[in-house]
Amino acid sequence: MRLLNQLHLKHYLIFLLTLLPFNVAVAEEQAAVNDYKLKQLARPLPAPGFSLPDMDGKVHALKQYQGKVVLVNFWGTWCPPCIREMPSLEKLYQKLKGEPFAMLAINQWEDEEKVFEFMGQLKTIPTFSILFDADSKISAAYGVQGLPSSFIIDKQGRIMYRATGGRDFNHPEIERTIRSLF
Amino acid sequence: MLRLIIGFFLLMSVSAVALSAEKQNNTSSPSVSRWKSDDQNFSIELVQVNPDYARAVFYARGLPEDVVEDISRYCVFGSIVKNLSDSPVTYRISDWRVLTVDGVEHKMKLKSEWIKEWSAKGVGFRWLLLADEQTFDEGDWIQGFTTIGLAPGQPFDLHYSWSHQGKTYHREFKGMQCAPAQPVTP
Repeated sequence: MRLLNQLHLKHYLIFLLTLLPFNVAVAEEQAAVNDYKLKQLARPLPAPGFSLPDMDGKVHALKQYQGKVVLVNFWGTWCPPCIREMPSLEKLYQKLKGEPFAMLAINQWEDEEKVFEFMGQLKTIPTFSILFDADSKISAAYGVQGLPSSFIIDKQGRIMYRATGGRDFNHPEIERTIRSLF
Repeated sequence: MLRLIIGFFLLMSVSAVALSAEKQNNTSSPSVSRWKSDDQNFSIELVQVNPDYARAVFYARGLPEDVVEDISRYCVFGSIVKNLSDSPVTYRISDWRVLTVDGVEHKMKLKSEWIKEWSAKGVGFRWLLLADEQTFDEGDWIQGFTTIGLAPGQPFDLHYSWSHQGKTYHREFKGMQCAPAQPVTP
């Protein structure tokens, strides 16, 4: 509570002022990278299993998606590149609707309330499943070192591709890669 | 005449290199300073983070007060590293060195060291900080905070390195400075 008092209006204004240049820098720089490239694993690895709740408390197990290509995305509301790639994930999800494809965005360290509040601020509200890995055990099992990180799992439950850092998932190259696994 | 033409192009080349180097040096805004370099397939950008900002970001993650205060006492930078090539690039922060004006060499405090401390306090949080070391494939990049045990406003040089295709590159950012205790008012 004492800390909350310390962080009064002035601090929040300072916070916003200092946040702006950093985020702008990220957004500017991200556009310059090969932001649709995915790493194809030389040897596909079995995807670590999980059973995680979604926004409504419904549990999703990875094994229930066997027979589908699954894009697993690890993210957090505090992470600017996670926010930036979210609309492109939604566009990809819409394009592949009706195909043997699933998208699971696994939030780190946060709860339903926090994410619900965050979703309300987005222009494009994701319609794919948001799951909660509150203790980050699943991201650790996937060897995730930073957010966002994404994995493409084939119909047999093997990790075929991965990406560290934000991507433009709406890029035709990524759609082609996923379709090649159908 | 030929000498004049060659001289002109040499002069232009030198100017281009000078301009390029200038871009890689510190570019300041009224409130924060940043250092950036794109070199040999590796991009690095470090942006000053003042203690209030660090405190606010960690506090917003619901971390205990002592954890928040510990990190806000450090010299913190928002850090973005990228692979600019189509083959793997590796960085290892434990190889990087911070040299202060008194000639003393310091190491950056690693993410793994923070996590160990947090874990001892029963805190399982492991985000926001730049990973100790990583190998980036094509298109990979990441951002996170890096921390140095220096006081606000303290100047230093950063010696950093990365590896690409079996070769290790060493570079430095001269004249870096920790963010001031209070942000500079624009």
